[in-house]
Amino acid sequence: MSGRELMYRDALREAIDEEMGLNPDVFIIGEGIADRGGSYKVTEGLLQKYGKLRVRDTPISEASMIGAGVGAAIAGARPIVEILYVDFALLGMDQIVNQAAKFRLMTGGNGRVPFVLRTQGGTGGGVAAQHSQSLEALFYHIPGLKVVMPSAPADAKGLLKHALRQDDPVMFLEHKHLYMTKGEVPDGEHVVEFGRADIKRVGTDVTLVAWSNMVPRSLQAAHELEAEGISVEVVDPRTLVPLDLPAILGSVAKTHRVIIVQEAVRRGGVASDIASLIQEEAFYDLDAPIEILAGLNIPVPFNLELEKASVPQVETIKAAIRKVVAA
Amino acid sequence: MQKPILMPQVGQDLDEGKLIELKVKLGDVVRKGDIVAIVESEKASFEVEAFEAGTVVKILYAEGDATTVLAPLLFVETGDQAETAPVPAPAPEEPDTAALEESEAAAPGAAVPAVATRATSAPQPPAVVAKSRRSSPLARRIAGDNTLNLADVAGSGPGGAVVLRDVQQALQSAARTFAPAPLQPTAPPAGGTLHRVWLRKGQGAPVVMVHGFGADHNSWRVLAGGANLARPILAVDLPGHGQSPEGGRSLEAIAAAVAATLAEEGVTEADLVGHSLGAAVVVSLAETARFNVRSLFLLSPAGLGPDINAAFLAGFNRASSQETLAPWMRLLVADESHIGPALVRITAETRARPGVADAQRRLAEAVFPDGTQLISVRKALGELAIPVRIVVGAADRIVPAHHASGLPGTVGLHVFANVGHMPFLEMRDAVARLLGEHLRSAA
Repeated sequence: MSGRELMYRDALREAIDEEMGLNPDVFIIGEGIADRGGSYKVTEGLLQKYGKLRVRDTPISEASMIGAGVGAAIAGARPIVEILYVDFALLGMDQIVNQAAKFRLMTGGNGRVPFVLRTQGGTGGGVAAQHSQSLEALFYHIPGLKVVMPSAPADAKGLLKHALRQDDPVMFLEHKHLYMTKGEVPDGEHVVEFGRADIKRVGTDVTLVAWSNMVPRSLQAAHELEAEGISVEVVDPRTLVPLDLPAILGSVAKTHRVIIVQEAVRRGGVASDIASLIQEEAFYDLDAPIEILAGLNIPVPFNLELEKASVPQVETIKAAIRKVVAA
Repeated sequence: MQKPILMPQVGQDLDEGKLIELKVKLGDVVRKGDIVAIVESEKASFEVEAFEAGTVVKILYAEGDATTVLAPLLFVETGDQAETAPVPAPAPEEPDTAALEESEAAAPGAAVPAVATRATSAPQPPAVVAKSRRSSPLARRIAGDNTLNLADVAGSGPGGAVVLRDVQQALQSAARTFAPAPLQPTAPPAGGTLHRVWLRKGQGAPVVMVHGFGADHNSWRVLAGGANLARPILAVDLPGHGQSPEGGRSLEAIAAAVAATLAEEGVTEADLVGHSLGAAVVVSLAETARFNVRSLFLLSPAGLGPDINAAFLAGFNRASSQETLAPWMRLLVADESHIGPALVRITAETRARPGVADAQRRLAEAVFPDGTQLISVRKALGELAIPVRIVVGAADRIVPAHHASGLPGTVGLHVFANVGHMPFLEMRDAVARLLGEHLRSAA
């Protein structure tokens, strides 16, 4: 399959551009997304192409933006609401949790909420405790929400296109560290359905389950450990809800050893839930305890060195792999 | 006393390696930790270390010889005056000498448990056998499946826990003692063409069925049994599958082999049914056939799009046991209850026949390398002037269902929701009905 080398942010822009071109119901609102093209340049050029009715700047009021988006989705449009930091999405939690997530089922399946909240999280660059969180577990916990966390440009594009074609509220969680990373994106129509994991690297000794920015780190660790004769398989679920458990179990059945890597704090995290699902479904495939590598249970520190120390790095992932393989 | 230096375990599935280099000769004095030899498996070479100081008194192999895993390569005289049999010292945390002796007795002169290669000190007096020992869930399952008593296995995991490698080594030791007779290679079918089976005999033009990658003619039994077709059914084993010999690995070569096989059976007219790779084969066959192809019925066809599940192919091809095969086979369906233990066992047994797994791996590498389908029948399909129906499952995890879209409007397409790559297994009755309708309308 032929493709092009694109940055993550360009792949996202392609998805929005293509879907806006295909479907007049798609529109996008957010802070500084129109004239400025967005803080991460994802929406650059869209204002010129689609006009200010469909590419719209908003005041700094996340609760209003999210409320407007959820309402528009219920009324039949396909809004994308861009929130600058996932931390700020908390201002709209009532609309997300009590309205968007519930509406379809509370209307006996008659209502639909094709609402896409695009935002970004994670550490990188010392933006401190209120701009660095990984909050996927909050949304993962709420039935009715889809939770998408692409790690590569091709996945970012394909998953966002799929998000704009399905009918449920989607928390589309990008990572600030990934916007400038590059990867091959297939030419032509490229849609990635939710609930399909991608095996980013095939290996035999241990399975690493990782998402978002932990995927490139895990791949780097796996690459470096190849020289030590350790063969690491890296499974990226791509969407946490729905979760492709069969793909994870298939890998575990092969390697018998698992490490789950998440940037979010350990306590009450998605990794813990995936670990519980694995032990429930594949206990007798396990040859060693499941290892979880996660952020420390602290607010992310401002100091860059401390920030690094608070979340898994390539070296900590390598150490965990060595430990689990030797167990 | 004389102590053996063992050939190390060079890979999980291997019980043989090759001696590449001997670094010592008879009479040499070695120190603990000296490298005495280099051995190699298919993938890597390993240094063999002396775990005892002493003098080399016996060398059992020459460079270039094949050597048996965990059997002695050479012996050193350590000068110790030990009275006991040459039992290697167990892992220091949890001595289990009795168990070691027992498993050694089961494999005289050959196997010594892996712990031996870890021994670091002079022989210790026999210790008390641990009554309860820790073990991983997987080790317990595999031991249970093989009626192996875990108490007899020395553990090399944390705190002396028995883990998979320990169970595998114990099973290997047992297997060497009771080595089964080698399997008889399957006799090649007469005429050098493909193996085939009449699933239903009768008069008139047959329905020819060609299975998918990794399967064989048996995969049609469910559908053939469910469909009341009143037609003869001939199922062909693809090259390197079932009981057919390995053959050419291009789509054209495979189609030609099927054509030659049908000619031998005297087929002059047929409806062709294919699944996955077999579907691509029958399209190619319809394009080139010298006999009258009445119609095509294609289940989850390959050759319509660029991608295929690379992880499935790699995992399936690498699987060497039912345990490792099963999770990959479950990817074939949406409702995994359709992949029962019997189906996994039969598939594993077929693949265990000499040459079958390797032939299939080579075929997959030729037609589906890097998760890419190098075969395409899209153009051919557009040019055929016979009835064609395609059946796919929307939840196919091997070949994406959307590959079947965008074909000429004359091609019929049936899409089953919540069904995977094997609609004739998951939706037997519905697919049988469609096949019946299709054959009647094409008659």
